[in-house]
Amino acid sequence: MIKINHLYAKALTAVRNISRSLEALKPELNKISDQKQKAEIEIYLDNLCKNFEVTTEIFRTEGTLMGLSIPYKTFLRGPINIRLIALQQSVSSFPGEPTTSELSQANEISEVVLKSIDKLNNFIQKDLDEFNKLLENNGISKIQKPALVTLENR
Amino acid sequence: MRFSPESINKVDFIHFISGNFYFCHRLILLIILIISLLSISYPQFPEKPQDLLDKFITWRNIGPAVMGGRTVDIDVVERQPWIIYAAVGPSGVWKSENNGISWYPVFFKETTVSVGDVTVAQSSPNIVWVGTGEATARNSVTVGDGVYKSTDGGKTWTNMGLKETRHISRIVISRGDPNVVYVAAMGHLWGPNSERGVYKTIDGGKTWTKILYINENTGICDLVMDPSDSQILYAAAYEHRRRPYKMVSGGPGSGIYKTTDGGLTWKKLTKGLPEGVMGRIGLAASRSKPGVVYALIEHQNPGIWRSEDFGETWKRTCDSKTYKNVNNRPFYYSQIYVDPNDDKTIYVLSTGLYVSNDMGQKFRGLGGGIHPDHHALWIDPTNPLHLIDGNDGGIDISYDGGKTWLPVTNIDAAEVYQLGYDFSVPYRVYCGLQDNGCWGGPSNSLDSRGILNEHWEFISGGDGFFVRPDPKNSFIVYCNSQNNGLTRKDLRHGQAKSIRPEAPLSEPPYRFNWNAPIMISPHDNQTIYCAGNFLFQSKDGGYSWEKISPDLTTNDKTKQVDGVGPITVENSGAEVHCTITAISESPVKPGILWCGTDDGNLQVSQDGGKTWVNVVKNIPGLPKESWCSRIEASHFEAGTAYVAFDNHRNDDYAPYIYKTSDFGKTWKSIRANLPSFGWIHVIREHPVNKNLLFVGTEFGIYASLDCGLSWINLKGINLPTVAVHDIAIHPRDNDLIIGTHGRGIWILDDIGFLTELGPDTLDSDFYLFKIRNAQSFQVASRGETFGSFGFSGKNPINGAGITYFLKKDLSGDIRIKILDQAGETIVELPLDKKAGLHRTYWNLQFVPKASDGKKYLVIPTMTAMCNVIPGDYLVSIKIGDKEYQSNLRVLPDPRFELLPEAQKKTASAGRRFDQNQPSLR
Repeated sequence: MIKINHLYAKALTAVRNISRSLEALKPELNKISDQKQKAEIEIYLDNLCKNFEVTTEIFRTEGTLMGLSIPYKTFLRGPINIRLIALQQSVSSFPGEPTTSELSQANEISEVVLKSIDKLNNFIQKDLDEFNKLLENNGISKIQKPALVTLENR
Repeated sequence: MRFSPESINKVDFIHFISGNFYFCHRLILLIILIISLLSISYPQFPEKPQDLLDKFITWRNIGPAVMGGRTVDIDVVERQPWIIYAAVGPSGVWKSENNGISWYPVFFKETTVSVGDVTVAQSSPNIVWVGTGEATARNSVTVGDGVYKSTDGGKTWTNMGLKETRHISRIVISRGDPNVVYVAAMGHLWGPNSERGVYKTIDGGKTWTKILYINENTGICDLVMDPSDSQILYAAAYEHRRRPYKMVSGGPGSGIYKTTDGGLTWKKLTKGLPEGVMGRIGLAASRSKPGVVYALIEHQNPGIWRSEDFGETWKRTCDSKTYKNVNNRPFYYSQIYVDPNDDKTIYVLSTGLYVSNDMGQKFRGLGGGIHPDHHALWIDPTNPLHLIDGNDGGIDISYDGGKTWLPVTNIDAAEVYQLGYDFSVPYRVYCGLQDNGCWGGPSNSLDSRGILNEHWEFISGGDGFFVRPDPKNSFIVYCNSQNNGLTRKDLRHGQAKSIRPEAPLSEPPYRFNWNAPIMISPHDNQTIYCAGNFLFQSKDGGYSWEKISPDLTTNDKTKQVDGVGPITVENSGAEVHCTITAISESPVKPGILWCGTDDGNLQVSQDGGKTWVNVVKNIPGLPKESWCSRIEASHFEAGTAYVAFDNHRNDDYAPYIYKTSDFGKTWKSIRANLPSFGWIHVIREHPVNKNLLFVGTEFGIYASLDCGLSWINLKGINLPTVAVHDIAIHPRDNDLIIGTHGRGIWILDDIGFLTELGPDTLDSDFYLFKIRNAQSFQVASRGETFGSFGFSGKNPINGAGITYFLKKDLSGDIRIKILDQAGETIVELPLDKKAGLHRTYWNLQFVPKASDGKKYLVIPTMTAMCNVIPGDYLVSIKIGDKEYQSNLRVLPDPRFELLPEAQKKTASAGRRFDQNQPSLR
């Protein structure tokens, strides 16, 4: 669980950094003089952002005070980050064997997190690279690529 | 000479008596007094069981008071600021006359006691008004029946009408004339009605005029009078409606209105205010700068607005982000106050307590360390550092502007949702409380100081609901918070394990009710049930779960939506719907399972959950979609069950209660003479007498001696008006325990008389009830005694309770004799000779006799009398030529490891004082 938590935290940081970079890029696009080219990049960026949002959905569900602002369906199951923390706390803080429910939840959540991290790494490696090339060709500074989310590169 | 009975042993004491002859004479009078006190009796001859019980039943309150209760309004006599009134939501009004050191209830016996507002007429401070029906609009608020007035500082109250308003948010009294009063009425929370708006009386409440009315869905959630001109008032209209699955907060009806002629005419204020739909609005008018008014407005772009021209124009002073931080749940809070001496300092109350010194641009938190969820604030106009705050955890007082707080912990106003008990000796009681978690405490602290706050143990947090100790291992407790935050806690070390069943990610998430049921099987302490939209069973104490039912609800998707809207979308879990709300397993036959839902289903399985039948359609007269509040499977017949429904969330306050004897194929209503105003939370069947039933309603507790053919109010001598949310009958001790939503836990000790009470009993000239086994507890003071600031719940009277019924008054010297196994009378107690039900307590002690057969003259206290040894005794009462007898077993105090032989020696030594001390004869 601790590994999954660690990976989740790294992924969360990476997602926040990418989101900020993508957001900061929008005014930069005004530097492109060719309006046609600018429009194409804007469309590309728009699609990239949508893809990014879908790919990294589980890293965007943040618990707020009492979960009040969480949509109904998310509330019912609990945001994944809260579940992850609660699960680790529940397992590690009680000096007894984990419950069947905890074990199956741990497996399920791990699987979901790892799959999403694969998608995120794929986005960083492939989609961001391609986008950076496009930016470079148009004289716009590349966005900073975060390190891949793995256990090794601490 | 100073005498302290605790400080000397028995022999010393007898020496003391022998050497103080004149003192002994005075003692005789004292003895007579104390003996009379030993007999706790309730006089009067009964015409009916109701009259009989009204004069006999005496409940004892055991707390807990650590957390107080949800306090929604505070008012103070400004010229005597040590006199404080607090509206403690579901429990009524409490008064302090010493700056909050001690409190006593002043509004607690009326037809309804839920309070939205309490207001003192500052020009004539003995006049106090109470608006009933809390206005916080939360899912658990109860209804009121109008406004009450006291003209003697809260000693007596008169209902002054407006009964159908049901929830009152504010009462404003004209400064110059206490007969001129304005009432802001929210109206029905759960349905439309026309008795809402602003009402005015000019004759002290004799007559009322509705002076502002918007529509049948819009009430008034705030009302303030301009401090410089009592003809100017501002009213906040609030369109709102609760449904079982959703809270609508806001609509076209919401807005701010102003009158400048005492309510004859009103105009809607708009200039500078946000356009579009508004929600709940809080208002405050400055005392120090006339014309300054603040409005805290729920809106898509919410904020705080300030007017400096009596509301004619407004300017935003607080942005949307700041608003959301300081008023995060507008329907529940939306309370704004302005410092009486500084028009730029404002307070906003919500989950936190916040103050701004710049009209709302920036806020800082004030309530560090005190309970969150704030609803009321009083700011001393002569000393703004003196604050009194009302929140979900009671009342806190500050004298340094909120830097530090003194919590009031002696108001017994806990809001119990569910009860539990264990089998310790004495047994412990558990409860889940509104916003105050789950707690456990003793039914008898064995501490002469009573049951104190320090005797209560915190079990778990959140809103607390079900608490079920393992019947075989009292240190294991299953408890849940809202939406089945289920844990298994080991009280030996306090560590808890989360054991909530979770849906696999491949399936939709489970839906658990706010107040989700859990149950330990009556057949196996390792088999646990809990319920969401499915019923779950664990056979290993919650470590693994099996889903043993399909979705037992209607699974209506239109009722599975965001809990609050349309402006502020919120999901606290309070509105999660299409869930199971009641479960029961037959104590007679394992595997007969019942489930009731919040959306109107009642399901039964006779094969451990393999197959289910929805039997709700067989219930005559039950409105559709009624919320099942409780199911009680009978202790006597497998096919018999009792079920209660609570339809108040559809604006229907009637009780619905039924019995089946054929697994739900047919039902009959057992509502009988239950009051039509008061929905039912719980029904219980006595585990020994199948004709004895109990129900807890929104306004009290009732018993039936004839299996639901008729009902008797069990309020007795001292139970306040309060919602009874849960009832338990301790199967070993036969105590009746009730969990009230507003006044904590109360116990009616030893209800054996109820199990035997019937026409035959009442036809007898004299009836001696079976006597419960008596535990020979040794009580000690286990700590420092406190002054009036501490709460002290009542312990049971120590000893054996001898309960009897007299049809008519008796005369003559009639005594209750206690005989030992040798047939020797060891104690004689006075019999109450007035007609009625009585209970006389024997303290399990006796006065030893000298060898000449005469008793010593001693003070009948524990230090002077001798304890009897555990064993069997006989109680005998001779009336005329008839002798009535009953066995009595005295059980040892389990904390002492005295062998029977040692006990005999102790008792024998007590009887032989004279042999060693011949001078005492």
